[in-house]
Amino acid sequence: MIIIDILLGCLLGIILGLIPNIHINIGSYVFLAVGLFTIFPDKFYLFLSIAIAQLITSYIPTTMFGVPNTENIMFIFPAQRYFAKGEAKQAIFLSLLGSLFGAVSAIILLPLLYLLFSVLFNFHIFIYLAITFVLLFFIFQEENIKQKLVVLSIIILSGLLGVLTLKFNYFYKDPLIICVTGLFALPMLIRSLFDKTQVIKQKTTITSFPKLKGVILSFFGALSSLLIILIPSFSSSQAATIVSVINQKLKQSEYLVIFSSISISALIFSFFLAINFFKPRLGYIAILLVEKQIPQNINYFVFIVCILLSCALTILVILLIINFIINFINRTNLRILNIFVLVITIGIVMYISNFKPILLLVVSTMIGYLPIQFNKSRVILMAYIMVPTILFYI
Amino acid sequence: MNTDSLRYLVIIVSIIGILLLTLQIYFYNPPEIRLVNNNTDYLDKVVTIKGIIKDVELKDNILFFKVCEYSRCLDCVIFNTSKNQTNNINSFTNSKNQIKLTGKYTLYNEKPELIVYNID
Repeated sequence: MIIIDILLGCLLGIILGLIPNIHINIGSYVFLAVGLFTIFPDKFYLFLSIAIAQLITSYIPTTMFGVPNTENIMFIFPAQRYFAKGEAKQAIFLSLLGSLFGAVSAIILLPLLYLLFSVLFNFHIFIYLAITFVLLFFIFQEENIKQKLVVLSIIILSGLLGVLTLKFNYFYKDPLIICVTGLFALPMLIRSLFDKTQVIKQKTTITSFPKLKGVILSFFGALSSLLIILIPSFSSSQAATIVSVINQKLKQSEYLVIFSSISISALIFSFFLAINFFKPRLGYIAILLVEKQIPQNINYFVFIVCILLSCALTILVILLIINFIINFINRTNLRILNIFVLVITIGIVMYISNFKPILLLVVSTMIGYLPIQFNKSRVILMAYIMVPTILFYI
Repeated sequence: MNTDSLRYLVIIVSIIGILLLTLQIYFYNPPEIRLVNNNTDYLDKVVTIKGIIKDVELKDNILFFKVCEYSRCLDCVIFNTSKNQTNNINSFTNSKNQIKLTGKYTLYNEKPELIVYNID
């Protein structure tokens, strides 16, 4: 029966992953709306496979449309450079490589995660200091006072938005979804409508990447993810920022492998922490916990097999369908597709939040537009989650 | 519109938006509910409740307690509570005085619960 769960999970995850700008957290709201958790009670491996397949497949729309979310915002820039050169398939191939090796590395690191989390998870001062350090790092990595002030202002604005919506949420249903869409997805989509885009024919060929290097980079990615997962409010983007600062000589291709490894490791670690410590690090897993889909005792052999099988199956399906998708993109007007994605995105957010959040969506979109206007990394918008988290520990 | 004008526009709209959100919360007057009534209409809304504090428990920096009116009690929770809030709640428990709480009236495990934002 577990094999059927995994197959079905991969199928659902791939469909979900192909829809642009659908984060797995939004997916979980859709599951709640259609009653999937009631239809499939006690189906942990189904929901684990969905999450893995969705994450790996989501690199396709992220590369093609350039619409990121909190998890993959750092993936977008190198992927879009490949897209601009007509090499989107190469970017997707590298992310598949990183995901596969990253999953294996994450499995190897699970005992270390258990040990570190058991020791550190009650050290609130460690969490508080780590988040403060990253926020200060965002500011002080800028070259001059003016740029530092710009970053500080964006941090203050997104942080205030976080405090007003997450710590004192008086009016909105699921403010996280509304604000994450406004901060990360809508500014990119709106900008893409005004960009003078030229049609870029995407190639259907790829060049190979050294496997040993892929393994080493993926392990490095999984290790960064291990350190980041210990801190609430940190996502794969912070891990990717830290990696890129530590090693500024990374090539675009290496960065894509590392990033996809970080993302898949973070997902696997999140499930592991939910099983062992009831600590969800992802909205999707929090909902699974509430819906009692996370068992207290699992067979770790089956858990590992499920992860590896889901990764392998998803990658196989993507390799089979990727040329069809590229040919479709080559024949389609991307601007019309972007308008379609924009309408769908706003429609989903409105539906989830009972059609009330216009003001919140406008404000978050404007704040999300600030880094684009001032040519700053959009990862600083994560202050939206980081500032309220710090306030919890004061 | 040039880049500079657009920058100013985006900054101004962002600041005004944040101010509006702050004012919306500041001037919001939450309805007061009574535990002896049926309060299902107030689910997922911010409300105020008056009552006596009972069964205070601090666990992993989360403060759990009950607010009671006659024999009817409601579970309350303050996430990542400060020392000041904990002392405040404890002083009300010891004095048996009525407390006024503002927070979100919601369901947890299908049971009503108040996520406390403010203590008066």
